[in-house]
Amino acid sequence: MHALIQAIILGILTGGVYALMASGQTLIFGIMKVVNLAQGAFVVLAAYLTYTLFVQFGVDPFASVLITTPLMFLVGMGLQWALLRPLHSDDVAQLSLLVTFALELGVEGILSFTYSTTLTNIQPSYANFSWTVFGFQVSLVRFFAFVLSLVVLAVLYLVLKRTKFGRAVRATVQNPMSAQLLGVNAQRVSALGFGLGAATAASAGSVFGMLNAFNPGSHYDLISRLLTVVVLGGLGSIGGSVVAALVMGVASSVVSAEASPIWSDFTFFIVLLLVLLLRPRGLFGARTRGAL
Amino acid sequence: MAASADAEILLTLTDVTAGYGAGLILKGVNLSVNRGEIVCLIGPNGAGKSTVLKSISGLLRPKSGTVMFAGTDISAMASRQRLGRGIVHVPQERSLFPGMTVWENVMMGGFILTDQNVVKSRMEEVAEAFPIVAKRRSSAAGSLSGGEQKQVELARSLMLDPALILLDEPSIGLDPKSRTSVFASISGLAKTGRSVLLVEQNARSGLAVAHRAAVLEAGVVALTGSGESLLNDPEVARLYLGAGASAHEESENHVR
Repeated sequence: MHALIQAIILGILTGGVYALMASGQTLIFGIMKVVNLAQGAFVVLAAYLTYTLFVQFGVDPFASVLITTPLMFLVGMGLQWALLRPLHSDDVAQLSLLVTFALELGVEGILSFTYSTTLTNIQPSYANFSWTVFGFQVSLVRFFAFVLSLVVLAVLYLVLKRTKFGRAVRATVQNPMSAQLLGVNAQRVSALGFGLGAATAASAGSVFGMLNAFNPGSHYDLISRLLTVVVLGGLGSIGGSVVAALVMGVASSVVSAEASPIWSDFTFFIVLLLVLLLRPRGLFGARTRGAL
Repeated sequence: MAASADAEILLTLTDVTAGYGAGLILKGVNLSVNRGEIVCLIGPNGAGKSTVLKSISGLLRPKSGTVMFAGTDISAMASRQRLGRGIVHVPQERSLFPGMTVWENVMMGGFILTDQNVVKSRMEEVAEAFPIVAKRRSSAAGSLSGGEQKQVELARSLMLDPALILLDEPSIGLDPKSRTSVFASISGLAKTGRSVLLVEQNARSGLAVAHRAAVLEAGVVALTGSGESLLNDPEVARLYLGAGASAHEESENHVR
C-alpha cells in the first residue's frame, strides 16, 4: 500500500508537468486546428536552452523559465508566421501535420549538431533533495516542477478568461467566422496562440531537463505521450488535458511501481487505444468547439 | 434599385459582381439602402442573397463594381475597417460563442472599441434594450433557446452603434413566437435611425417589416418595390410567398 501511495504521489507530480506541455498543444489545436507535432521538440529545445543557461552562465533551472518562456513565445510566433500562416485555410489541418513534423525534425537536427546525441540532464545542487511527508518521499525538484506547472496553468487560465486577447482566442476557437465578423484578427490570434503554446513547452522543458535524462531525439517519446494526453482529454479542452495528464501520470507511475518500469511507457498507448475504441472524443471532448 | 429622391442614401451597390473561385454568383447587383430604412432581399436559394451581404461586410471582396457607404468607396476595404465604419453583419448560422457567457458574447460585439468606458456604457444600453442580456447574463450562450440566441445576436450587433446592420435569415429555425419577437426587434432597430438590410427566406415576414424590398434572381436584382407592394404582387406571391396564401395573413402579426 505504501508503494502504491508513493507511486500516486509521484504520478501526480509528474502529471502536472505533462499537463503544462499538453495545455500548449491543446491551445494550438483549439485555435488553429493544427496538431503540433513539434511540441515535444519545443520541450527538448527548452531543456537544452536551460542546460546551456545553467552550465554556461550558472542560471538556476527554475529561474531560467523567466528567460526561456518569453524567448520561446517569440520563436513560436515567428514559426507560425513563417511556416503555418502561408498555408491555405482549407488545407491547414492536413498540411500542418507535415509542416510541424518537418519542424520537429529540424529542431532535432539543430540540437544534434549543436550539442551531441548523448544523453544529458540538468543537475542543480538540490537535484537529489527530498522531503519526507507522513513517511512518503517528495522530491524537491518534482514538487517545485509541479508548483511551477500550476502557476503557469493559472496564468494561462487568467489570460484566457480575463483578458481581451483571451476572449478573442476563445471566440476564434468557438466560432472563427463570427469572431472575424466582430473584428478579431484570426492571423494575429493564431500567431499569439502558437507563441503561447511554445511558451508553455518552454516552461515545461526547463523542469523536464531536471526530471529526465534527455537527448535531441527525446521528443519522439514525448510527443507520443502528449498526443495520448490530448486525445484522452478531448481535443481542444485545456481542462480535459490537465485531468488527462494527471490520470496518465498516475497510471504510468502505478504501473511502473506495481508491475514493471518496462510497462510504464506502454500504459500510455494502451490508454490511447482504449480511448479511441470506447470514447473517441476523449473524456471532455463532447463539444468539439467551445471547450477552452 | 432606386431610392426615393428625398431620402439620404447610406449604401449603394453599383454593378457588383462577386463569387468564389472562378465562378460568379453576383452578376451585376445594383441596390441601395437609405438611412433608417429596412430593405428586405428575397429570392430563391442560390440567387446570391447571402453573397450580397458578404460583399458589403467584406467577408468577400467584389470582383468588380463599387460598394459606396456613407459617401466612401469601401469596395477594397477589409471587413474590420468596414466594421469600424458602422457595418455589422449577423450571419445566417448561429453566430454566438456557445461556451462564453451571454455577457461575454455581447462584450465581444465591441471588440474593436478601445475605450472601455464606451464599452461599459454600450453594454448598459444594450442590456436595457434587450432584457435577455441582463436576465441571462451569466448563462452560457449555448444553453439559450434559438429565439433567445437570436435576441442576443441582435443585442451584440448594437455594441458598435452601427449605421447599417446586415441580417442574414434571422428567423431561420425559430418557432413562430420567437420569430414574431425577432421581427419586432428588427422594426425597433429602424426606429432608432439604423438601416437594416435583411435577407429572409421567410419572405412574407421579411416583406411585412421592410420599407423597401428587392427580388434577387440568378445574381441580379430582378424586381424592386416597397415591402407592401411586393407582398401584394401576384407574381411574387406565387413564386416566394406560397400561392393561395393571404398576403396579409402574417404581416398583421408584425408592428411596423
